[in-house]
Amino acid sequence: MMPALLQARDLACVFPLPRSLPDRLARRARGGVAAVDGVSLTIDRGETLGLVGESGCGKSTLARLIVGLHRPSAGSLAFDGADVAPSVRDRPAALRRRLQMIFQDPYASLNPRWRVGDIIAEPLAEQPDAPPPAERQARAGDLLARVGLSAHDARRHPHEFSGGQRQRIAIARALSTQPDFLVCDEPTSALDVSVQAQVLNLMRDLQEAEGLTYLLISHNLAVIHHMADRVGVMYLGRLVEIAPKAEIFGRPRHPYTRALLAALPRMDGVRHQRQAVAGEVPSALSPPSGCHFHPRCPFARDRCRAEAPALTGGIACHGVAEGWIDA
Amino acid sequence: MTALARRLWDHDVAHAFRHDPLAILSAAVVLAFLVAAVLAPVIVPRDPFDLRNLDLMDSLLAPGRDHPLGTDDQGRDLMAAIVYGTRLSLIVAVLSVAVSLVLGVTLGLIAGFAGGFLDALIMRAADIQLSFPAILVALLVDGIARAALPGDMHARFAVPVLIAAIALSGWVQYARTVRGLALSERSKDYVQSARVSGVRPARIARAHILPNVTGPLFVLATVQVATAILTEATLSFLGVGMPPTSPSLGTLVNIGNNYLFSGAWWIAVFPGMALVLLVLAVNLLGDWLRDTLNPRLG
Amino acid sequence: MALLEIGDLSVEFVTRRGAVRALDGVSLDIEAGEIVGMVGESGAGKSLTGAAVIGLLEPPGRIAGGRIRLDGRDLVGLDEAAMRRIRGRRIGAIFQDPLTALNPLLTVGDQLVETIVTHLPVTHDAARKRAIALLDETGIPSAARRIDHYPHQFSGGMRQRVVIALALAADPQVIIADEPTTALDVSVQAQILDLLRRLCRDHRAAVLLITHDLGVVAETADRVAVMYAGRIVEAGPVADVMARPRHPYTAGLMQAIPTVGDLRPRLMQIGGAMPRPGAHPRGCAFGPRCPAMRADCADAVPPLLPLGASHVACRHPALPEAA
Repeated sequence: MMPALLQARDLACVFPLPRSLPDRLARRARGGVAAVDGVSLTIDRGETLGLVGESGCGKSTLARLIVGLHRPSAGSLAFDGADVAPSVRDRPAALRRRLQMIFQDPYASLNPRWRVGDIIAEPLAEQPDAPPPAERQARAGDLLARVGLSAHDARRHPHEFSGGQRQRIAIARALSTQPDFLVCDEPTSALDVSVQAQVLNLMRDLQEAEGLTYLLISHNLAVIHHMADRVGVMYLGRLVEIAPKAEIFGRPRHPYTRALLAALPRMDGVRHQRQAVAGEVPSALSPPSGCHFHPRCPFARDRCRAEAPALTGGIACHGVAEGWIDA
Repeated sequence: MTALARRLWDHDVAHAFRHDPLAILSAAVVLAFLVAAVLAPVIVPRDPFDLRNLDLMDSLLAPGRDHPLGTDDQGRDLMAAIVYGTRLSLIVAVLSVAVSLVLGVTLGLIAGFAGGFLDALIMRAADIQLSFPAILVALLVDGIARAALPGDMHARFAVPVLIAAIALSGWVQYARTVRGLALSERSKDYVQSARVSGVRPARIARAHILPNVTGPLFVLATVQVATAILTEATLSFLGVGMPPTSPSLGTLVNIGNNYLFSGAWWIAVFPGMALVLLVLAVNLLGDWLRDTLNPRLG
Repeated sequence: MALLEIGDLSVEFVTRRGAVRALDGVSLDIEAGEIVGMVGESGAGKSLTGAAVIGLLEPPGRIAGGRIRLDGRDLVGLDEAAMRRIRGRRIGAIFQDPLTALNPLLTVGDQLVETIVTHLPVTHDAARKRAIALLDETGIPSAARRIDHYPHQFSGGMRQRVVIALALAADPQVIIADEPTTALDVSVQAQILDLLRRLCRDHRAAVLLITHDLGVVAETADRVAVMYAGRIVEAGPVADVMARPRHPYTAGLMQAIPTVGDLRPRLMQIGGAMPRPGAHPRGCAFGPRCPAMRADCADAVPPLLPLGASHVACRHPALPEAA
């Protein structure tokens, strides 16, 4: 069996908080926000793993850890069987070539002063064996055509394009080094519905044509449902459930997953009586003890307050593991 | 070419300019001064700074037919002196702004992008410098130069020393502005994307961030030119700027100060008026630029 | 006569290149106690409609024609002083970002009391009591204590509840809610929408719910108006419009949205993009992108005509299916 393309083990990322002077003098331990708190997952070649969760769940931070924009405070990463340096600067060019990222905001992810052709060719230009500029521009033109724009657009500037077109340009840029693995952080959240459909279809087509592997991050469950093969649900820095799409959406086991799905607005106009979960996601500055979800969980017991459940069999929940939640 | 010209003409900024009489007027005044400064040797064939052209018998003549603005205490035709003096003032002002721009932008970029210790260092230096009036800083630099250089070199190096003094007193504005902008650009996704591709920080700062922080600098530099002209004039007035052998407008005012109430009032008044007019025009132009470009900078 | 009647409303932007129409002949009625959703993509004109009703159109935008009748009284052309009296007292507004809708330097109580006292003839004490009651009604726990808290001491969802309380403070007849849940998490969104629905029924307010999210409209609104390029292209009862869209744009939108349970490998995409104001094609603005376009679609703008229980602006709408 082929090893997974990406393997994350116990990844954690704690952002330290600034200490006040009295605290610093007293040498008190630095508080921190555990944006990612011990996440382990694997992604197989050719699949799309969807990562879903609400604000503060850590999915964007996890994406940046994988790509090397942040250093993890604990844990390890392996790509194609080999360990990966935590910071992108320490990674070999050959690895950077294969791992690229698409960002959420199409208006901030392209340098407004650069021409589109240069933007697309930049990752390629950074490679040690980069082809000469003329050839790079030719490739940029090809990529533009591949994402549904015209090769002539390479001369223009980002502000001449709409949000959806800019996102296509960002995709073209990510593809310029012929990567295996794309981390997509909310690629369509800033786009209108009809444009979103275009971009999602494009991503699908490209995946089939190039054999790409996607880590797709979104707060939009419907988008995840459409694109992902497997889905991971995150809550306050931890993975609470991870399973194939059909199981997550058909038979959600974790109480949070169930609450999320129940909260989804339904398009068929049927006003169903919702089991809306009470309260809101607590601040990541002072997460609840034990299982982070226990204050909002209708099934919580003392055990849940005291001890954080481990992720076993794709779910992190005492109730499901021990059978007192009817999963 | 005509397509480009048409686009420039139709541009929003050009349109606003064409419809704002004050902007047109101040631009015209600045242009007039610039042309006079550049074409000085043509307009005034006899260099008033060349001692051979001076005749002490012509000194302190009131404004009249031969000398429309009078002459100064060394026999220089005041109109010629004003033209050449403007030239000096503008050269010093523009060059010093250029130097302080380069200095300030570089330091600001390093501070904003690198952050951490370098940022703290540069910003504390800026804060310390800001607690002194700019004139004092310029005086300090000038004083050090005078002490370092032997006496006969003073006149020869007057211009470079002056430029250095004014430049060193003015870099902080640019550094702070650029630092703030660099800080906010640093977190944008296009910078993150470059990092993912492995672009080195120095190159990110130069190729990605720098082009995006230069917008407000244009307006800032324009207004700073006015300040630089005034600073130079002040230094010259105080006697530590341009020497009387090659006087700038400020020096002329200084010279004329002695004669203000004893008869030859024109030596101080006419250069003073020229100075005020020039600085006012540059300031108005800079203000107009800032107001026009403002919504676009947002 | 409906509580809020928008009749043939047009909004234009005056640029130096001439006047550009951003809203063109929008007509909509909202009864008391009814929630009407206004959906569309960015640039379609839905936020502009809300801004026009509240009287907060930013220059160079201005109302170019039409009527906005609140309880029979036309709001178009009223001076700023009159409009200020109406705003808050008769029209309440809920905006997208609770962070900027509340003044961070004043306590929640101060802001509520200020609004109440400005519009209602009550004493300060009575206003404070009313404010506590409002906070309670919007589901803020320990309202009597939290009324003296500052906005930053509330979480995002709680802040939006405060904003809703503020909108209801003077008991307005009309509420304009512009993307009230877009900045909130999904689980909180559900709570806020339930709250909005309940409160509007209880207070018998007419609500214009502006959003780009069809799911929000499906859950919360009674009727829906679909906007495209500054015009309403389809309007009708929510269940009807969503289940059997007649206008090709509405149908295309419904097909483009992924939903849980929908296993199509590809989403239907509508080629091209919505035309910007001032760059509309001749005739029907959707024509060039429409799969069902025919020759006469480019002749003139199709009027909004009744079709079954809805209204559709299309020369060749999808006909009702045989039962």
